[in-house]
Amino acid sequence: MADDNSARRDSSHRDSIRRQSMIRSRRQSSLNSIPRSFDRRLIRYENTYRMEPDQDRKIDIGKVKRIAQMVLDSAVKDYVYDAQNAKLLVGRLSDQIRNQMKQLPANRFKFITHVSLGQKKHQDLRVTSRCLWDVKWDRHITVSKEGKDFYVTATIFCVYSD
Amino acid sequence: MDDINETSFVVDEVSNVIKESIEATIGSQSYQQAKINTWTSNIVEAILNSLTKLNKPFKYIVSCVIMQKNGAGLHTASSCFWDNSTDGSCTVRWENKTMYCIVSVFGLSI
Repeated sequence: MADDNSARRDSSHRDSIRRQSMIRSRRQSSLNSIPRSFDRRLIRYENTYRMEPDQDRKIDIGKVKRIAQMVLDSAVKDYVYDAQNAKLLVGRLSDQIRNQMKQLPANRFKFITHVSLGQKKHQDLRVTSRCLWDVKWDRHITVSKEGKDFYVTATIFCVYSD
Repeated sequence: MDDINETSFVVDEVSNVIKESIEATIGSQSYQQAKINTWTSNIVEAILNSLTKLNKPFKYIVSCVIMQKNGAGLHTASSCFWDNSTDGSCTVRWENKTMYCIVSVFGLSI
């Protein structure tokens, strides 16, 4: 009798273990039943139906000019033209200005900064640009600086995209 | 495939447009200070006109630098903050005996 009892307890014990494992396996399977792609699928946003920037998120072109001029001034303060590091300098300059632009409160804007640096050697140079865009919101600004033997011209384009 | 080509920025196509416009405007003429103003504006105008004829949903920015050749150095760089998958840029460097001409075109999809 006692033997029988212990055997039953034993079997019930085994039963509960099996049940637990079943629950666990069921839980796992239920997790696995969520499609793998669920987490990774592309987020699709609804249409905003906005055609223009918000009132407080417009481009303040005066501020852009101040920032660009500041970056330019500080970067070439006592710079003397050197063909070796000029390449590095223009690259860094344009990156710097772009990063400053990214800090602006204006979202929904794309920025392009175009910087040219040249040596002064009694030559002539002309920089022009023309754009096909929406004159209502898109803006551009040019800042330039001259040193003793070099000049820098930076043009920044701010293009609205909805 | 056709659909992708119709709405994306194809660099080869744009670079051909740029080269043709420069060749048509300057060709083999030598540097003349009096003409440089009209040249630069003609070039950007011509490029913009041809780009418009492509009929793609883009805003375009065309910038042109012409410099007389006399041994002086010139460096240009540009940085962009945009949608990498749709927008594109193309830069062409052209030169003849007396001048350099550097044209950059940026296309921003609408």
